[in-house]
Amino acid sequence: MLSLSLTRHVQLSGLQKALTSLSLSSARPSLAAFSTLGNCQPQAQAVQAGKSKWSGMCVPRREFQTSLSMKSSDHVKLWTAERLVSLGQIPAFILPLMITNPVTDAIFCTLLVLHSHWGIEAIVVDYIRPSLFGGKTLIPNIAQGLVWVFSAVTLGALYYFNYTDVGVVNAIKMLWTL
Amino acid sequence: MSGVKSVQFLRSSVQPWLQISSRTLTQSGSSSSAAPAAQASSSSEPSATGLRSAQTKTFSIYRWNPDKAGDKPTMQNYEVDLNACGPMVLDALIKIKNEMDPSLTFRRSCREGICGSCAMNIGGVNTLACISKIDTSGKTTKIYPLPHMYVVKDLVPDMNHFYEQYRSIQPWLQRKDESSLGGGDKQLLQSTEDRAKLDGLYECILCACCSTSCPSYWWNGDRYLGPAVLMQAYRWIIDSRDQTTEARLDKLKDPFSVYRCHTIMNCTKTCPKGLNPGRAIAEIKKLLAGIAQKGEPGLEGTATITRA
Repeated sequence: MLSLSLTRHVQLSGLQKALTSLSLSSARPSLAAFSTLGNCQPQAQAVQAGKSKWSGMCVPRREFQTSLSMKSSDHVKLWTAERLVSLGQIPAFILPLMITNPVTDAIFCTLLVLHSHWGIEAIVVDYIRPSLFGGKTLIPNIAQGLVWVFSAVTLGALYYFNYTDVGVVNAIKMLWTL
Repeated sequence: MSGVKSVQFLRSSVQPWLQISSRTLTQSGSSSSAAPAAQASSSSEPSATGLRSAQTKTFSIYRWNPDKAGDKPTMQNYEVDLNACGPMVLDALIKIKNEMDPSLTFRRSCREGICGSCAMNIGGVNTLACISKIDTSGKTTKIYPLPHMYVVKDLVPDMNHFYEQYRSIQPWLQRKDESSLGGGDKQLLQSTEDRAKLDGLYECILCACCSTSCPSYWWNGDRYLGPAVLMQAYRWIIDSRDQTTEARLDKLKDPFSVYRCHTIMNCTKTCPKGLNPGRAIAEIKKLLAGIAQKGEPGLEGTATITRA
């Protein structure tokens, strides 16, 4: 396997590198070289010969995408936003109970829906994933779209309740006094 | 192969001595254990020592044979006399393989918790068979291979994917000026404080107990790197001698490599070495977000290697 990957690497990096020097750093197998490497050869032959699937010396590895080969979108800002919202929710739970007005109501609802949206989205990404549908992304995409619809409707409904009725925080207070 | 031969040689050379000792111990004991043909210990016979009564324990072990076409995985029960067996689950497994069923397949090597070969699910917990004591409460102990891994045979999981992920984080020291290291004739200096940052990280033996206990890794193992690999990623990110921190972090920015960690913390709970992969992942997230900084190395430069 090593010799295979090394020859592959040399092909990729061009003859120049191979000719100048095979120093430690250039002989180091690059990620690209390994990701192009297919299943082990003896295994493929064993399967062709109709033998047991595992009778070869090595077993084939699963398909694996590193972050390099994927569409690399940056998730860092979103994570930071999630943490900030979580942090902001602590005062956003206390403040509306002390000062109840449409503004604090709106802050309370917005942060609540943001928090639940990311939570539900994470569940949907984990449990409705392309690998369950033969690698097709249609149903996972629909599911994630539905999460957005659900969150948007929830937020809209809460705003509507705040605007036309007593508001969420007052409703909680009234429920408490029952 | 040489290992197998040496084990056989060892057994043939040790057994006569074992039989003699069992005879001297059981001079007034039962005749069956004193008979020369009797094995040193066997589940169906009284304990070899003859001093203690048999303490039978049932192990229910996952079996699957890839060579039998259409074979379905089953649980097979084995009765082991704990008084004629070592204290650890691996001792019981080896005893079963040696004396009852040579077809039972599992990985083992160091038998002292340093190689990580015998990682398996024992009584619902991912751990190393060699350092987990046999539960003597009389209940059946169930042993499965590591969860959510492809099984090669019985308790042997396919680790290729896991190792491939480990390779993807480039687990070696990377310098921008490798030529200045004199081709291995110089050593890089590191302050005591910087070295202390690697404690709790470098001890990982890559047994995959943590990764295979993580629900996120179960569901998204094809894209999420998993706690073991991420802890090693952090080990190289935080190393003061490594100069490719930005590149390493840049590769982890996507929504799956790191951010599928939902701090479930099964990894930390199950780690047989007592390490904390959950914390390492949190540190990676902090570094990515810029909440924490790696900081400048406490010591720079090189020194000549002292050879003993």
